[in-house]
Amino acid sequence: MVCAMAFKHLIQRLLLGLILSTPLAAEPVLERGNGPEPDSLDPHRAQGLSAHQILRDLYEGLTRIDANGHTVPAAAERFEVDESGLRWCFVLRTGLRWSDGQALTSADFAAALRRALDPNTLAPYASLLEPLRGAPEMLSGAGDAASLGLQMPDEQTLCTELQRPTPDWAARLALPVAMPFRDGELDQRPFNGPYVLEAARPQSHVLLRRNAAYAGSRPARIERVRFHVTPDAAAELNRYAAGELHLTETLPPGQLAGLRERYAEQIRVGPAYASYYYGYNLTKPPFAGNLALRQALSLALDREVLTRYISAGGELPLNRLVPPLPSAAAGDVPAQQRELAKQRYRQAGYGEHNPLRVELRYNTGLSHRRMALAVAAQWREVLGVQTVLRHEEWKVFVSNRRARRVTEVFRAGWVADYVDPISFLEGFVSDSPLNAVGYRSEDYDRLIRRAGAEIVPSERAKLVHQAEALLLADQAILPIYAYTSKHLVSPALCGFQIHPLDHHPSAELYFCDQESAP
Amino acid sequence: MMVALGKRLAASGLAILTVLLLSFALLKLAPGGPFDNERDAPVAVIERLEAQYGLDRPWPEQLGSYLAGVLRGDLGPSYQYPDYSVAELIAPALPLTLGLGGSALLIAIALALPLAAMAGVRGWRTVLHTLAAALLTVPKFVLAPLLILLFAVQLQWLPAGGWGSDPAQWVLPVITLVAPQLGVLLSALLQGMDQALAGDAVAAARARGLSERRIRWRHALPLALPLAAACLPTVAIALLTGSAIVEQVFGLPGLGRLLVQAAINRDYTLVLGCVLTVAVIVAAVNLLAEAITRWLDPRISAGQ
Repeated sequence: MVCAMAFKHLIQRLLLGLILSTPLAAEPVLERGNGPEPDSLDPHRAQGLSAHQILRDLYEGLTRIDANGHTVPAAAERFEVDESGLRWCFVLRTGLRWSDGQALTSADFAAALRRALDPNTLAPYASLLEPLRGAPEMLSGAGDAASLGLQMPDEQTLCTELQRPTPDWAARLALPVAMPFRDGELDQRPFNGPYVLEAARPQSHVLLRRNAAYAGSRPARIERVRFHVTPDAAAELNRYAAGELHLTETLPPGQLAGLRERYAEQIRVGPAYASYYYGYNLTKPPFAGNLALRQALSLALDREVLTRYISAGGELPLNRLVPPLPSAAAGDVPAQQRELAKQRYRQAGYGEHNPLRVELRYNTGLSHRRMALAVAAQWREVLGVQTVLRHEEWKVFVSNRRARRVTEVFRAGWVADYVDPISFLEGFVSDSPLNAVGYRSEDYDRLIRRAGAEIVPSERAKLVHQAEALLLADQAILPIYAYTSKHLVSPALCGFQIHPLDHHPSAELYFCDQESAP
Repeated sequence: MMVALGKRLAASGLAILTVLLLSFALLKLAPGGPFDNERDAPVAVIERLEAQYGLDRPWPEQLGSYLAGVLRGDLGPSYQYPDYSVAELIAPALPLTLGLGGSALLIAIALALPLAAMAGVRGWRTVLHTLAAALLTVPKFVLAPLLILLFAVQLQWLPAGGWGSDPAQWVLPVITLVAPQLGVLLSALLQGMDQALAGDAVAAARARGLSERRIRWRHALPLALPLAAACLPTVAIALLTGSAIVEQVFGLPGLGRLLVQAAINRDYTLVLGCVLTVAVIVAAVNLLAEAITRWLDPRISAGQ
């Protein structure tokens, strides 16, 4: 009998051991959800945010953006700009090495910029490096690498000569497109970040290991990090609930209140430097040349209701394009505003018996559908607008939006590349490929050009503000809300900080039961 | 015999080519291209990308060079994932899908046979028919989340998804795949058992005084097998194509999910590579199934 009991116990233990051997228990690997499949682990070719999150662990640029949104030195120990605003010099930290032991010098950073600007590299972000002298020529295939404004007085120093003052130059160099890169097979490539690549399984995960050769400012504390491909937020939540992830990439839309009850402190929501808006096709009726109509549609929205009950993820109602930093109080829609909306609507030539019939186009997805339905309902309630909702598969949607042939009102959004309002505003310059609304204003173009080159911060802020005010006065877009970043963070994980661009380098994270000091 | 085999192979080749041509045409007709993104790359970059991948050339030329590549064993580069070629993406995904489908098929067969044999026992027939119908009607996209909620989120016995070194990550996906296919096999076997139990062979066996158990296993069940074997190719193909849902829900890096993602990304070469792989497997399964059917029931060959 005793023997039988012992045997049964043994079998149970074996089975349980087999079944319950979850990765979290096996070894202290940081398991993090990372959204869609990263498109490339080549910093110059990568386009998706999920790839960039991993690349910031594998590589370290000259600068980085800290949790306050400030540009701070990273691989560089310090950087300075001369009075003209044209010459920026970056002094590297001493003793920097690649993961294969080779010294990391200013020549590596120069080589990376040359590669990124080489048109054959096909770097989607290369245009952000255009302020560099010789960059536009090189990107168009006419110039050559030797004429780029790059100088290396010594192995520790890289000086960049710009063709026009660019106050946000250091912030642009924090992007993966400016990170150093040495080519090689993916599994043998050297890295200069706090982590190196151990394994990559497409569609499943990317596993990183601590870089033993790293001599930078932020050494990793966790030995291994696994970035899981989690394109579906609901599935990601399930995996977190099952104890398989320490950190999620996001939360399923519209469930914040319920999740807060269940997870309380594990939910980390913060303002993101990204905005959600609708665009009007300004090149076609009914919106071309009809300012009053655009005003009416904007005034008719109650953004407070839209964010509280529809997006319901802690988003901030937004009456402008550039989200405030840090969060500010939101405006509401008083009764007078509705009256004004009706007045403008009538001015625009519409009314009860002659309602506007408009198509609202969005990319297929529950959260966008909810928002479109709610916006259509508010337009109908206040103005009597008849809205037809059209949802389109992603690629169809973006190609239609860019072509401006069938669009009327359409969903849009923007996640800033770096913490600078100009990142939002540049896309509305007349000849920008991102200008899906077809906004054309010489005044606006001039303001953006002047702001881009203004080196006195207060003057620059003024110009940027004027440009945004002009864009809003022209009602080129219909702002709705500022995004939030939303994560679930395991109580076992420490060091997580809200970040305006949602950057969360693994080197900043550590298990709470580890020594907190690096 | 060799001529028949040659004919079969030629027909399979033609079917595969047709599938490729149709997929190519559908991809080209679908609006949106591989380089349409939220953040459009500069026009110059997109033009260079298109030139590099030959997308600026006329369709027939693109198709021709793709087919020539396939004949050389080169499935081309992936547009969405420039770090990998199509073959490098399919190579690790295929064993997972085949392994998942294969184990589901074996388990479904292993469960269906003894269950079907029980059909001769009084009172079991209705229970089994109900079970088969229930298994057939529950869709995978309902079953999978239910299993996850119960076993992963509530009980925390099994992982909710993912793919790594943990063998427990197989369990829920395989159960999800087994259920409907077990339903198909079981219904086919039950139908066969009904016919067999009412037939002469069983009556003769009873007259010889054999035990009911022996009659069910040795006389009735073998007669029911050809019906189930006829379902096998359908079942195997359903497992292969149906794996997309399971791989999607459980986050498994298999062929089905790769294909779906490739279609969403308009990654033309990756879509065609996946379609080609699936088409070749389906053709092989059909050939194999035909051979099995002939072996189980020699009347088919004799009647030819």
